[in-house]
Amino acid sequence: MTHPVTGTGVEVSGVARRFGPGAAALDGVSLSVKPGEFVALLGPSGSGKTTLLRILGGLDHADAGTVAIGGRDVAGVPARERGIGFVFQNYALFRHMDVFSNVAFGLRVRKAGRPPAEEIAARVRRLLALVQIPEMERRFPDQLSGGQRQRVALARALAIEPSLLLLDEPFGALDAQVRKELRLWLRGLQEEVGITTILVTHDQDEAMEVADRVAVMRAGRIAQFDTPEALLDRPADAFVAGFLGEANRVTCTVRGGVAHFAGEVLPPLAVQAPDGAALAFIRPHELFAREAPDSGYVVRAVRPAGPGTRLVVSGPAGSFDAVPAPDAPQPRRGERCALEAQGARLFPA
Amino acid sequence: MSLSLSRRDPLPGFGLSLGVTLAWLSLIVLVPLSALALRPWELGLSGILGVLSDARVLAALRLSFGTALVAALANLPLGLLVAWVLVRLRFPGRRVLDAMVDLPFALPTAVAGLALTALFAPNGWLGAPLKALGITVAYTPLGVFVAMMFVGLPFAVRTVEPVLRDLGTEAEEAAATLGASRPQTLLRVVLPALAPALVTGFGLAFARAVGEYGSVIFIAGNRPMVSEIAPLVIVQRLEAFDYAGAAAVGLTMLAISFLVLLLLGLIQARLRPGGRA
Repeated sequence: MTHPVTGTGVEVSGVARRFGPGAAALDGVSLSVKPGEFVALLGPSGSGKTTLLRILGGLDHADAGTVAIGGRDVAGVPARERGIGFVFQNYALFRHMDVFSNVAFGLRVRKAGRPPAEEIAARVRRLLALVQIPEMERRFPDQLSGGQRQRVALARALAIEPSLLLLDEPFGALDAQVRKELRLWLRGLQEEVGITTILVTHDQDEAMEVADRVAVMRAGRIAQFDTPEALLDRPADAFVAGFLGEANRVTCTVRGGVAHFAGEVLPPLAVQAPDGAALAFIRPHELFAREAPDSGYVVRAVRPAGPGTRLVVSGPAGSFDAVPAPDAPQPRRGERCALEAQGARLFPA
Repeated sequence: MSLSLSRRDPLPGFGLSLGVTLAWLSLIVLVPLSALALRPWELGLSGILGVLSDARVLAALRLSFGTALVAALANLPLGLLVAWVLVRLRFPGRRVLDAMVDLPFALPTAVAGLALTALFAPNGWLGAPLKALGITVAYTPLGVFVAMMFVGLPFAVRTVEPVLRDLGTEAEEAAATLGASRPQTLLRVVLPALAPALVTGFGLAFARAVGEYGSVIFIAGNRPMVSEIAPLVIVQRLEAFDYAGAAAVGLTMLAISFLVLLLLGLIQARLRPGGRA
């Protein structure tokens, strides 16, 4: 893009929002996004992530707390004066306008500083080239595929040269293949343009893949805000550990730095956790299965997974996702095997 | 699309559905209209022109079509407003208002005419204060206009309402984030999206108003050359056993209505997405 855009930072502090009686949609959310950063708001439906996005965009208001964008409190600033790009879940394209007019809309409605028609045309064409649909300018939204509509929505939002881009489940309505392609492309585009971007999603793969940092939301609060690696390695609580990635959950009791699993379903494991009852999250790659003819566990399924193999092992205590122990022959389906945890994240139960 | 009746057509039933449609339409629309179209020629061309050049007939046609156009036009903003309130606002009594919109559909037109006349008569609830202001509604062309608006309103509301509901609020929110003010959003986003529905509502309200008889004749006063509508002229000719003369006026009304509706159809085709291409 010929006009390099620099992103602004976003400071959200103590924001609350309540719709009618019942649980609050947002319950004291604080979030600090650095200029140029790509942040994902990740959480199950009803966790408040879209409400937070709409408050940032000026489409909803906070009952309490402050929102500052680029260092300026935006409480009284209406959406049309914020200069924020917003991409809606269902794109919200103007159906009676062609692609060109959709993208040009934000420039044409300017009262002060509206560029001349030739400049608007040039800018729209640059944007359509940027989102890789330059030949579509005379088409109407009804004549486009889902992925193309998404690109138009993005070009339209970028046309006003926003310093902040907000995306609400932008890939939700697309099929898996297109979704994967588009999110990688979006990440590349964001790096190219340098715009601060906040994306709402319920898809953890999407969040982990595109975002610099991910805010995991639950019941109107941010459970943890960290890099994808840190979220997987050091989840702040049982919700985050359970929500992200796959994990076997086993209740246990910690005594003197050793976790004793309930019903002795697994051998004791040395851990760093205070004494007391706890819930252990063991990732499949941390759970080794070894041939053991007299064990109560049987391999139910063997599935190649990337460079290794994944096993589903079941026994009286339930089913576990595990991997073959690296120093032993790989167990086959139907064989008995023993399980041993190599590590776990424990949270007080 | 070709008019192929081939059995390999992916959507079967083309021949059957087209056949039934044409037969049915002929029976209930085309045959009666042909009778109407044929009857006046008993008078010969000069006889028809004679009927139509009658000053009283011309005045009635002018009143019927002119007032129907103005009433349909006046119903557009009102219909849009009512549809907006029904779709966007949540308030106690919304369902009652919703049901009230359809009352002009359901009421026998003579009842509506009597009610409007009582209301707007010089001693009526609304007629008296209006008279004090120097405005007379009953027994004037203004009364014709009021009755025509009354019967046409549901058409304007009910054609716009589903389109507005379908439009949702997201497009308006998108316009706001792109920097558009409220008036700009209404003019550039909402109204263009509603325009085809508004044209349909206008056409239906117009057609109803032109053909309206029962509710208009009571409030109109039916003074020749002033507040006499064309359908009444037809009835009067029928009562005088001038069937061919009545048919001549009827055929003229049919032709004008057809032209207006055809024009609206063309406008609508241009308003649809892609229609300007």
